[in-house]
Amino acid sequence: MSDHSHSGGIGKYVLVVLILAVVTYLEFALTAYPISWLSTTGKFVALAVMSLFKFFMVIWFFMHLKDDSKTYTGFFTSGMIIAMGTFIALAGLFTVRSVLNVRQDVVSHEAGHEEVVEIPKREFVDMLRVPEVKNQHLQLQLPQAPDSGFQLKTLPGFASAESLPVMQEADTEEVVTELVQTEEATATEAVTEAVVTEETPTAAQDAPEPTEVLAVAEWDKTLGEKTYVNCTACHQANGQGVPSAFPPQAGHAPTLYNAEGGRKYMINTVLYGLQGEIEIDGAKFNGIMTPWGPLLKDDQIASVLNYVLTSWDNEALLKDFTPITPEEVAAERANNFTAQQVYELRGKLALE
Amino acid sequence: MSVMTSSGYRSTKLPDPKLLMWIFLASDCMFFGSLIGTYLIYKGRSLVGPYPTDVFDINLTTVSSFVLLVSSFLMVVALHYLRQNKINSFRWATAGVCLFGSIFLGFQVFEFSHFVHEGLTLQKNLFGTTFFVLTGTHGVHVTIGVLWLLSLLIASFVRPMTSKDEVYLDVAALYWHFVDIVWVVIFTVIYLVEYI
Repeated sequence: MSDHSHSGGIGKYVLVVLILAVVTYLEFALTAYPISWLSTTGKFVALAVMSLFKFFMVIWFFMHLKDDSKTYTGFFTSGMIIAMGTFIALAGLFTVRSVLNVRQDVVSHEAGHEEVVEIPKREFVDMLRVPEVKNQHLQLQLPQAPDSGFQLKTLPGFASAESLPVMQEADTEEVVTELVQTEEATATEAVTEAVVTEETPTAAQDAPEPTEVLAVAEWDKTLGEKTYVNCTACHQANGQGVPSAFPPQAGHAPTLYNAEGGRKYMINTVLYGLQGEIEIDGAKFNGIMTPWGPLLKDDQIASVLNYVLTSWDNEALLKDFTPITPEEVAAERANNFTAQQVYELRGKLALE
Repeated sequence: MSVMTSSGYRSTKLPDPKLLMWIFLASDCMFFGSLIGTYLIYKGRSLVGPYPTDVFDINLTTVSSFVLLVSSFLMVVALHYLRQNKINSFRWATAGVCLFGSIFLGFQVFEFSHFVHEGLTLQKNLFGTTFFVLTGTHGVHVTIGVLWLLSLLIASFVRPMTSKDEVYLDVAALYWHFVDIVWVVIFTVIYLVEYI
């Protein structure tokens, strides 16, 4: 009936299951009783070793990999390797990255705004957001204007500011004019066009200060984008959210901003979180918004809100947009709201 | 490993269902790997309780781990007897697997309802979301395994068992053992580490 020899009894299986039972009990005992001579790390290692031992005992003897075709072992091992790879990648993306990100911001802000912050290397998350990184890059033009007070940040993986084609006076004026004429065009878009069409890389030392551009962009977009990494797990990198759990920011954030009290409401939501069912255009959402107040600094919160309000075509929907400032965030910290109070605040908004 | 057949295709000379089951299990590793990874990423990030140690009952979980271990033992015994054509012993062992599998599920139902009673639901916090999705997916695997083995047990009463059935039982057994080893990992990584 079979290509294996099965003449023996079930003795060896009994032995295996007894060993497995003993190991399972040892695992339990390790956590149930105080073992002073073993450190926490030692216990971790012991648990890991015992689990792996059980894992391989079952595969080897119960699943017969011991004397079955090696093809099975090959397929299963490949799956295991890919699973481990996925596991490590997940852990790397969501833990190491976000922890590094928060720490980096803390350091850069304690050091002060004048400091040029070097991001150590380009990472996964940056690579996924190439279009926005391009916009960032173009903002590098702005600090070249005299007395702009802007902070120069160099994004690795791209050309440095010096190697870029610099706008000539006439072109810059064109940008400004274009800005005034086209209501829909955002500052960065206008600059984008100008730089893309510019073909003669001649240096112009006396570029006039583009005041209109500054007025719109008077917040730290790099910081906003970096801080937004914290939000992507729920609201997604494209701001679309997750149906029935996490509301979209693309298209919805301007509705909140334009409502009376919406500006403060948005700050409070980030500071104190939100819990309770909400409805947006007939779709219901019932998730939990993290209170970021204790985790993020005022300028991080302000810039991430500005980032949300100006991304994904949101800016075109805004009425009279003035960037949210860290001072406004600091003022709302006095509220000391609960997520429930923020939920009540939302109910009072006259949303269109 | 592979040989050329007359039709020009390569053959592994292995029974297809068994090879496919191993490939499925490889993919299931990735599935559970992602779920366990997600649980660990969100571990300790719940903002409101109940937290793991508020609701876990490690004694109960240890007992249910033993139950699943015994079921795995009975599974390999059932296959052993079928290969020796001892149909009655095979039936008893398979019935035992189904029984112990059901006891495990009973424990899980008890555990879940206890957790919900304590206020932990799928939407309560990150722990609830990731815990229920992970252990719930495992529970669904166990349920499918019990139903599958029951169908083979019933088949043994309505028609004579053939060598084909041996392959079928072999495949079901692989699935069952896999469900057992996933629990070995869950038991350690989700439950025991909370008490170190």
